[in-house]
Amino acid sequence: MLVEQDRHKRLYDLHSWSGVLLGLFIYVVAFTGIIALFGDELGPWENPAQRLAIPEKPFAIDETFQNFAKATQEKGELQFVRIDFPHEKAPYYGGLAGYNNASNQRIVVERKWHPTTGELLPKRGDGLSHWLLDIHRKLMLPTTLGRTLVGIAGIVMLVLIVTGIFIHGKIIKGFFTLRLDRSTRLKWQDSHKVLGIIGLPFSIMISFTGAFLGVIAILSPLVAVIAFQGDTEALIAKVIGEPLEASGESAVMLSVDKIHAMQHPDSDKVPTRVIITNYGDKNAHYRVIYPAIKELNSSDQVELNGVDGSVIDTGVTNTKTTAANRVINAITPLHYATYGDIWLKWVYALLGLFLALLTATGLMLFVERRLHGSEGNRSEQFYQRLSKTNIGVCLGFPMATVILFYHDKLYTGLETDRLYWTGITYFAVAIATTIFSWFQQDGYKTVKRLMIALGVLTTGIPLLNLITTGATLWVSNTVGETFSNGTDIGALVLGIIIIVSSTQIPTKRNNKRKPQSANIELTTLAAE
Amino acid sequence: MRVVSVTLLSLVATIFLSSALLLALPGDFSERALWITIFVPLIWASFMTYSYWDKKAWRTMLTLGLVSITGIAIVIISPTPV
Repeated sequence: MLVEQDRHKRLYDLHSWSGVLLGLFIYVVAFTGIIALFGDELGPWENPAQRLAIPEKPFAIDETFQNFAKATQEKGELQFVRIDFPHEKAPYYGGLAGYNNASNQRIVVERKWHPTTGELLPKRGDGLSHWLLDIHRKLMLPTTLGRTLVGIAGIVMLVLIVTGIFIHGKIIKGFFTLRLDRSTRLKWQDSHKVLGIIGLPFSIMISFTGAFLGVIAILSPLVAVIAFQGDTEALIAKVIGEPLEASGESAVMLSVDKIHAMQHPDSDKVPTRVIITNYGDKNAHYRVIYPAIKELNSSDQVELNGVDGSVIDTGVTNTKTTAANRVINAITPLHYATYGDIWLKWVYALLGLFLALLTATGLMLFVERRLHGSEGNRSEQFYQRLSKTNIGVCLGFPMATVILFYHDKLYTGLETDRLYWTGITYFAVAIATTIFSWFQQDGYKTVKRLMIALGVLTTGIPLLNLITTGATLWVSNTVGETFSNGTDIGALVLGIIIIVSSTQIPTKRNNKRKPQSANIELTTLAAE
Repeated sequence: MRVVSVTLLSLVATIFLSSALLLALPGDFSERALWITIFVPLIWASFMTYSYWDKKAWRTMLTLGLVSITGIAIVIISPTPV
C-alpha cells in the first residue's frame, strides 16, 4: 500500500508524534489491559476465603438475601439490589445493593455469603484485583473522565494503526524481515514492524472495542446535550426503553432460590445473577442473567415481574436480536476474551503483550533515530532523558503490578483503607522505577537490572502465597483453589521467561554493521 | 493548522456529524443510536487521519469545519425526538 512521498511524510509525522506524545499512555493502557483479563481469576488468589467449591446443593439464600435488601432499604432510597449465585468465576453468593442517602449520594453495599452454609464471608477491602481492573477501565478516575481517556487511547491507537499501515506499505515483506544482528536502529525498526504485523488484526479489534467502550461514556451525555437539550435520561429511555415505575403498593418478593433453579429457556443453564429494581413493590422487576448460549454474547436475559414471576416484555432494546445489538453485545466479550476459556485469555495476553511491546519499540525507535541518526533538532540530553523515561515507565508499571501482589499479602492496615494504600504503592513503585532509570548512565544495563528484579519478584509470587495462605501448587480441590494455583503457575512461568529474557539483553549498545550489507541497510534507511 | 484539525476539529466534526445522523437518518431511533455509537470511533479516527492525508492544511480545516457546520444546521432544523 504505497502512498505518494509527501503524504508518506505527513502520515509518518502524525504516526511518530502521536506515538511519542501518547505512546507511554497507550503502553500503560495496553499493559494494564493484559492484567485486567485475569480479574476474575485473581479474586481467589487475593482472598483465600473465596477458594471455595460450587456445591451440588447450595444453601437456600432467599431469607438471608431478603434481610440484606430490607436492611439496605431502611438506610435510604434503594435504587437496585443484586444477587450473584455461586458460579465458576465466583463460587459464593454475592449481594450488592445501591441506595441514595439523605445527601442524594449513591452508596453501594456489598456482601458475600458461603455457598454451603450461608455464613457471611470475612470482609476484605477492595485491593489487588479491583485496582488492576479499574486502572485499565478508568484509570481509577471518575467513571466518565477515566473511561473517556482510555477510549481516547483506543482512538489514537486506531490512528497509529492506519497511519502505520500506510507508511509501512510492504506488509508481506516486513513480516519476514527481522534483522536482530544488525544495527540497533534496524533492530528496533524490524521488531516494531514485525510486532505490528503479527498483531495487526488483534490490535485493530482491541483498539476499536476499547475505543467504543471508552467513548460511549462521553458520547451519550454529549449527544444528549446536543439532540435532547441535555436530557440524558430521555436519550437513554429512547434507546433502551422506559424503566418500570414503582406502583407504591408493597408486595412480597419472589424467592431468589426459585429463580436460581430456573433453567435458561433454551438450555439447561441456571442463572448467575438477578438484578432487582423496585424492590418490595408490586411492580418489582427481576432481570435474570444467564451465561450466554450464543458465541460472542455477554449474557442472556429474562425479564420477570418480581412478585408473580410472569415474564415481562419491557421492549428493552438489549434483549432484542437486531444486527446492531449483536455487534454491541459482542464488544465486551471480544475486548475481555470472555467468550472462551482461560487459554483464550492467555492468547489475548500474548497478543496484548505484542501491542505493549509495539508501543515500547516505537518509542525506542523514535529516540534511536534522533539520538543516533539525522532526525530531530533537540539536544542529545533531551533524547537521553526521553529514553530513560521510556525505560522507567515501560518497566515501572510491570514492577508496580508485581509489587501489588506482595502488598496484598503483607498489608496489615485497616481493610477500609486497603484500596487507598494499594494505589499509593502502585504509583510509588512506578514513579520510583522511573526516577531510578533517570539516574542510571546506561539504558541497557538499567533494562537488564530491572528485568532481573521483575523476574525474581514475579517468580516469588507462589512462594508468597504458600507462606501467607498455605496454598500449594499441587493441591487443588475446589474451583477457587484452581484459580489461585493458576495465578501462581502463571506467575512462576512468567517470572522464568522474564529472567531468561533478561539474559538476552546486551549490556551495551550494538553499533556493528555488516560491511557486505551496508548498502542494503543504507537503502532501507533512505526508504524510511 | 493540521494540529488544530487533528486535536480539535476532528472531535467537533465527529460529535456534530453523529448527532446530525442520529436525528436525520430514517428508521428505528434506538437502532440508529446503536449503529452510530458503533461507528463513532471509526469516524473520529478517520477524521484524525484525514487531517494529515490532504495535501493542503487549510483544506482539512475547511472540510472538517463544513462537516461541523452542516451537522449543527441539521441538529437545529431537526425536531427533538419524542
